[in-house]
Amino acid sequence: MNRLQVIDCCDKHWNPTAATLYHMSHRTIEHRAEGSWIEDEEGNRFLDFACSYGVFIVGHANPHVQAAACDQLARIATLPYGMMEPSQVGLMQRLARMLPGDLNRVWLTNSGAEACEIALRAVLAARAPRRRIIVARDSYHGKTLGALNILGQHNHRNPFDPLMRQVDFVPYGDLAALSDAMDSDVAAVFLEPVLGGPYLQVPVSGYVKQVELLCREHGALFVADEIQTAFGRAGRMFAIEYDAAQPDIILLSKGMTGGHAAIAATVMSDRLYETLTGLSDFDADYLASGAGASPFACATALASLDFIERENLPERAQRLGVRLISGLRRLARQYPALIEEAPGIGLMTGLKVRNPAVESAITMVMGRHGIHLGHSMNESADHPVLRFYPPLTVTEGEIELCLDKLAASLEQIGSRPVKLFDCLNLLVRRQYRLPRWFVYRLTGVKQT
Amino acid sequence: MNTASYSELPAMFQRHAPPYLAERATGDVVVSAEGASLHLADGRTLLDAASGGFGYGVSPVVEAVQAQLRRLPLSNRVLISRTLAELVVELDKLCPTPLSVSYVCNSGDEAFEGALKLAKGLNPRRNRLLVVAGSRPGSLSYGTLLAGIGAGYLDALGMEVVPIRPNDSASLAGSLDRSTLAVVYEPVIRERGLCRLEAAFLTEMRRGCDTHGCLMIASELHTGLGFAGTPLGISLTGVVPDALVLGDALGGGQIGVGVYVTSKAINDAVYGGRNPSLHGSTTGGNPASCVAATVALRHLARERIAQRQEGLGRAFTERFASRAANPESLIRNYQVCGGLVSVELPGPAPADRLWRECLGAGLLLQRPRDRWLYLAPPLTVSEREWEQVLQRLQRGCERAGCEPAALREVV
Ligand SMILES: Cc1ncc(COP(=O)(O)O)c(C=O)c1O
Repeated sequence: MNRLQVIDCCDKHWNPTAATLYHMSHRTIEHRAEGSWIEDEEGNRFLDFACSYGVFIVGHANPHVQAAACDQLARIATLPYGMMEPSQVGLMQRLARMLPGDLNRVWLTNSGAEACEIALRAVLAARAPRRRIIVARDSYHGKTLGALNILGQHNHRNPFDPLMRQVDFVPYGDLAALSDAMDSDVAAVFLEPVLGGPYLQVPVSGYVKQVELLCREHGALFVADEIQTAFGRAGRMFAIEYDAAQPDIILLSKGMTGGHAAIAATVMSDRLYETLTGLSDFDADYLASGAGASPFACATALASLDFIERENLPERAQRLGVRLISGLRRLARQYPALIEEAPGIGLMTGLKVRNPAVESAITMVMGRHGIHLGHSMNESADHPVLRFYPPLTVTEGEIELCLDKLAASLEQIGSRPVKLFDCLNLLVRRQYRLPRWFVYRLTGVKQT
Repeated sequence: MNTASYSELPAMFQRHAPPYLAERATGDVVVSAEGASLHLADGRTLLDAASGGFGYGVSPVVEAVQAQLRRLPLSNRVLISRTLAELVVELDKLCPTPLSVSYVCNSGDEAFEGALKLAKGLNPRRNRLLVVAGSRPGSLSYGTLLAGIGAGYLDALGMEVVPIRPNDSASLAGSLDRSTLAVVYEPVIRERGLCRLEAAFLTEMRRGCDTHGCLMIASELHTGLGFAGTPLGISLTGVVPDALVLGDALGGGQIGVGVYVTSKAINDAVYGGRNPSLHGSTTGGNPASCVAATVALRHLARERIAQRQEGLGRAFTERFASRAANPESLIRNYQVCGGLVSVELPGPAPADRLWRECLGAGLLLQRPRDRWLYLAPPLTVSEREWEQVLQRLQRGCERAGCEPAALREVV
């Protein structure tokens, strides 16, 4: 199949609006990757600062992780219930040892959303008859129907509303609002220690700990969603370390295998585990995973964790993050009409831009310069954050290269009147509802 | 890991594993596997008649996945994925018209929730779910609710669940209305034995779903890909649902993959003209999993696995049915559908005894559910392995004091 045929298959058999997007943004077909670089089938190379929003912590195709993954595939990749396997048990123990306090009970699942769903069911049971869940507005916890119930981004929820009724949304970082929302009917608070997604926001020091304390005060459980932040991305092995916070449940996923296999974990405290298993009607299958904990994913995660610890990637992320963030801030100051600010911590960084049209423009021009960025794909955010999430193995030279290309891109974009982007934004907000011929003509797509 | 540390694994496991795994643990440590054989750290080999998976170490799949791992295991989701396009084309070939659009994700569990989300997108205000009793469509929140587990806690989800007795067309018709979001079923129910849903019942379901505009969702985690003796469980009757869920065996025994397949019309009604990221996940449809699934599907077709599964059921019947009835026997009945087999014992205690004796004889079965045992070997189990499964089952029966001579087929 050539490129157009591949897009046609996506259109007919997968995701028609993704196919439109591929056409209009002139995307090519991915082929291979190594370190911080991705190569398409035409041999073009791209510096990857998108990293699937934070997955490729140890660099693409990391030889150490790859070898462990291939080796495990050759031995045993999946496992029937009832059997134990060294890498699976080893990963459970490893995570428990890495995590603070008594976070010792490990549910291994296949995705971040699955991990959130285990946590949701656990808190509803452990704190019954309490029913209310509090989450941060604009937070992200996954898009399975169960996880959608506690997703704070309304553009993802609206088409499926009404969802669970007793979910309250409070502004991220606002302790007073949280405090007002807390009462004796709150079962749990779900919180990202650094708000990710298109609303990247680093809270003030102490915020996460204060949330924990509010939970304790009201008898609610505290669930830290570290799916995006953990394993060094935010400059610490776990972002809760900044505040020495101690959640009842922690959720992990993205960086765990360094981008070599899908895996997630819901890790619970012994105390919570005992509460759950002590319930008179507790059924172990209430908190099960159909196909979680595959030895393949576990062995891959263990190798990746070895690498993260051996290379001290959290420290590296913090050190290089300072450089990247200061570069982004410098450019933000230079282009105040386009960029509001440059939030970030560790190598979880971004540009909060004027509007989605500006985000699209920067992404597109940077793509032409051979740099991939984490586009928010969120045309309903007023000021989305365009994410810069390189692998934690990124070099200083690669950061400089990205900043140089960004400077050139902003110069090019900044030479246009900003009003143009305000007009374009009207189109961007409707882009998936516009007739295809119109979008294609606008973006110079030849339809053959 | 050396054998000394293998001996420490059970304690580590009990310390850290979640209850659903810890409760089922046999205490055995697996170090490698191929075909349907699990090689244990203590040198024994167990035959797997429990996983209902694809089969271990099937070389075309292993090699393809290893090659993809070296190239690009996961995508950064900026460029186009050829591996995903190839998989969705393969799924289109597998499924009957009009099922042509696939949502590829990380597990059968996620796929089922995706199908339900599709139903919710079609009719957001509806909150009534009909489920054919005994169906186990997955272990995420709504799958758990539909399986009747934790209903007292999951009332928070705001869904009303109405169980329908299998093949009870009248109660199905009486329960369907304009508040029904979806009707969920498995083509063959594994509850108190095996129960095949009849064409008349499914035709009624199809008609009712069309009349009331709700989604008909077939969960094929246990019946799809050949287990029921046909490429898909829905082929048993030919009644086509609105969404078909396939699960974990789809990953070729290598990687978790799930998918639901629906029609273009339904997909467009929910996701058409909307942001392509309205549904999806970080790793869903990743290149290594797509390669695993594509190669697995081709392997199933090439090796005529559905026919082979049918052969397994026949071999079981030949072996056990021909014997004379024995009033002393503890085993009451058995049922076969393709390669799916259930065995009924007089009560939970003998069922448990048989399960243990089989394990001792080198055969891993799923833990009994009440007085029923289910055989769920991997899809690619060979005839020779199956023969060994049956021999070990027989040995287990003898040791448990249940003479298999009296098995009677009741389907
Ligand atoms: C904080 C957070 N929680 C949950 C999720 C959901 O994970 P997944 O996409 O693997 O379902 C994500 C994914 O981006 C995330 O960033």
